[in-house]
Amino acid sequence: MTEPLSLLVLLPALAGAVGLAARLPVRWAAALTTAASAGSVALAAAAWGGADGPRAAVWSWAPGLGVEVAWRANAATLALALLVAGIGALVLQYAGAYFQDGPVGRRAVGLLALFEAAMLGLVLSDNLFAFYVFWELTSLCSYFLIAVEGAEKPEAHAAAGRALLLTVGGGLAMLMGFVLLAAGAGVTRFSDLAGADLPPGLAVAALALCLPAVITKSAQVPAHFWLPGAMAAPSPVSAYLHSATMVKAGLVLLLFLFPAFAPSPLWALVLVPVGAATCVWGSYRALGEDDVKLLMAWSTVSQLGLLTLTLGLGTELALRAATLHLFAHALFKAGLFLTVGAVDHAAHTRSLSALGGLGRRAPLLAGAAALLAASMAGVPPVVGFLSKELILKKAMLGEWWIHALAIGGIVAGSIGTVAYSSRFFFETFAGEPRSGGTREAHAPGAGLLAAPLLLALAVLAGGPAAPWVERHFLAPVTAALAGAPVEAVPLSLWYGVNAAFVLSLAIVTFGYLFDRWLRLRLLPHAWAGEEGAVAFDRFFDRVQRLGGAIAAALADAPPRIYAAIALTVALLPAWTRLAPPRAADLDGASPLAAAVLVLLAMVLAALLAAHSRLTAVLLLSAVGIAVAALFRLLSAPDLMLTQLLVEVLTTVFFVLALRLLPPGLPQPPPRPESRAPRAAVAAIVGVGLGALVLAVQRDGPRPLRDFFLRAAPELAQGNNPVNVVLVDFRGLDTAVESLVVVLAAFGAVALLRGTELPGGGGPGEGGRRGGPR
Amino acid sequence: MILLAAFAVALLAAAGTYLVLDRRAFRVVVGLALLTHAANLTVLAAGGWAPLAPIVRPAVDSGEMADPLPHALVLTAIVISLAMSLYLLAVFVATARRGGVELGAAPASDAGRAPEEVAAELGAGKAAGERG
Repeated sequence: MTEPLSLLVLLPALAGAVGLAARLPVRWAAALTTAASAGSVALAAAAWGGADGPRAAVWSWAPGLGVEVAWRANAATLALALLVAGIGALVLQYAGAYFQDGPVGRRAVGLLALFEAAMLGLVLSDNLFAFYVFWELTSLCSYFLIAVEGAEKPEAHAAAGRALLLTVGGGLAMLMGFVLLAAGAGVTRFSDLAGADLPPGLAVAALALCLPAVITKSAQVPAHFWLPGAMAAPSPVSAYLHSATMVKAGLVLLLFLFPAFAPSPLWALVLVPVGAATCVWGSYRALGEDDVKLLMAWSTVSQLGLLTLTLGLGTELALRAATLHLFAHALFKAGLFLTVGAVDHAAHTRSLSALGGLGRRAPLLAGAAALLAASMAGVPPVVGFLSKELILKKAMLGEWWIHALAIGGIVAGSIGTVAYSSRFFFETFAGEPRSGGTREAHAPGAGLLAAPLLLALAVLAGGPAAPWVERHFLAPVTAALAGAPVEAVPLSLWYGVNAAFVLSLAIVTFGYLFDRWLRLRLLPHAWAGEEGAVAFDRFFDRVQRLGGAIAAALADAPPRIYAAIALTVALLPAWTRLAPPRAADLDGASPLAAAVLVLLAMVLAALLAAHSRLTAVLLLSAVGIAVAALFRLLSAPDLMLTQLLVEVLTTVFFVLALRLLPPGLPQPPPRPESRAPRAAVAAIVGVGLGALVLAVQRDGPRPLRDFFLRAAPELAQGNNPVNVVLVDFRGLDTAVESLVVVLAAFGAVALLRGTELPGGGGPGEGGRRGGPR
Repeated sequence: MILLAAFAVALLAAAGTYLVLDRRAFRVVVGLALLTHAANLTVLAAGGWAPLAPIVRPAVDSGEMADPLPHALVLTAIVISLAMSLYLLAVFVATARRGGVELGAAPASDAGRAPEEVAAELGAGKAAGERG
């Protein structure tokens, strides 16, 4: 293992596999995987600032197709790896305290570590196809983690299935986009993407195929509903996958595609409206939610929308703002989910109407929650304020309608964010307990407190440390993403009083007031249906029923229907290659050849019209002789000889077979009604195959021909290369071919045995002899 | 010449397809034989046309010779298609002797009988064959 980045990815995978296979107690498994994650953090930190850029493939699967595993180490990928492994270490440590010992906890911890490895592979992959594989692996891990509690929670199973279908479906579209990039422009690596000269049509098509992946994976409207459903998973899983990391994969893809595709008109046209809708809708739903965890899930939807919207603006300053907020959101949202898990543990409820007054019983947890919620709301001086202000500044510039939509979405979404952050904090930690369970709540243990506290301290430090963040993190990461350093005013807590600051302050003030006084009056019964999930289930059900109907219709179909479908599907595409023949296609054409062709046409016409089997056999033999003549005209005398011999044998056997038929066997009448569709399929196949023959003609050097013409006398002492190929170069193949003929003969004998007619001939007498050679 | 070959391929493939889609089993066997002709010619014609057969002789330019590789491939294919055609013929004869000549329909003698019964008889026939 010469490549430290491979070790970085493999460490958590190995730890997770060991934890799963060895059935370690949860505490030990958590300790092991936490240590492995810490190792990955150390490796990522060690690689930081080292050699930049793409690296040689560590494993080539199909080098000719550009399918290989290759890592890319720059400030951006390493920062993402640090984030994934760092939060992974915290979550795994937390999981060790959260889960009771048992199969559920064991599975969850092992799968979390496996997921971490997949996510690390995703952010570090340079190769597009490896990125796709890691992408689907994260979806798969997510599926198992949502449903980790097994059959006890059927609704979790359903939610996990929806999440899997949606995210894997998006991933498939992305794979097609990647194939387009590889086949159309030869781009198989992210590091080649920025400098690639993509044809405009191809670029739009590839982007259009990648966007569904972003929308489904990052839970954007209208594919957002799987994320709240995924909250059926245990809190550490939700914290890690469904807020901090996996749902960011779509945004990571956007970040990686940014340099090549951001100028495309489709970029802003799709991402800004989708992001704005997601941002506003998520905020609205979070305001009406009673379950704290679902409140956080809707808040995640809203924040993902905000990020998509910002990236959709497509400028380098937007990229800078989105990058900062992506990291900030990962920190505070992971912390908040872990806080919710601790609250659940302490008070045995997650319902806001039952919580309250937890601040006095768990002051440290309340302190952490206050910092994290303030960060989410964008209150100075924590890091969420920095990133949100950056986003607001960004939205002030540029083309009017996109930006009007963007500002509208950001302001509305942010007011909602402030309001639900305030609601979460005050209703959980302030006031009086509203239920017995909450009154008897105890302070969570150190194992559950450590991770939220650390994350809270990180967001608190992020604000005042703005110059440090700018120099060591934001500037290099954005430069790596954009491909060049981005000119921008350095990050700072205080830019002076400007429009963005005023707007930011107004949002915080209004949002707080809204929550305290207006919310219950304006939104007494916030709409809280299960939009999407029901429609999705119905849609999926219909698809399955449609599939069942098609299967039922085809299951009893006779073979010729299958043949017609298969032949049409195979050869209709060849019609696209129909083109006028080239002059060279007429080389060597002679009156004799034309006469053979005319003869062939006449024989075939007669064959189609023939009613008697014997006539058909004789005409088939004539076809074979015409084909043999064509072989000669195409300068293949060996083939002509073989074909003539085979034709004689075939005719003899066909006539023999007719003698073996029972006497008086009726000749079923033709069915005229099926002629037109058969003729149509026949035309599709004939024209398609003929077009293919013309389409594959090539001029130029023929190295294989020259090799065989040279090698036959030199290596095998033979002047006829065709013979030499058959008996020498591919001698084994020819021997096996003889075996095929023998097997066919055995098969024929076996079929004919046991079919003796009362007064007829013997069973399959004569059998079948071998081929002509 | 390639253009003429393409026409021949088109005619053979169309006629073969038309026959393969027939209900009558014998016509299907004939159609498959035509389709193998079409396939063989396709492979051969894909190699392009050259005036001379690929036989190494002194003082002949190799650029004038046909590509021997498709020839070798098609030669193999002709023999395999012989085996396949004759095997299908045996299938046809065996089916006809059991009373069926149309594809996609149960043999006439089996009409109205339970599938298990037919299967049992086929198994018995096999056993009889083993004895014989």
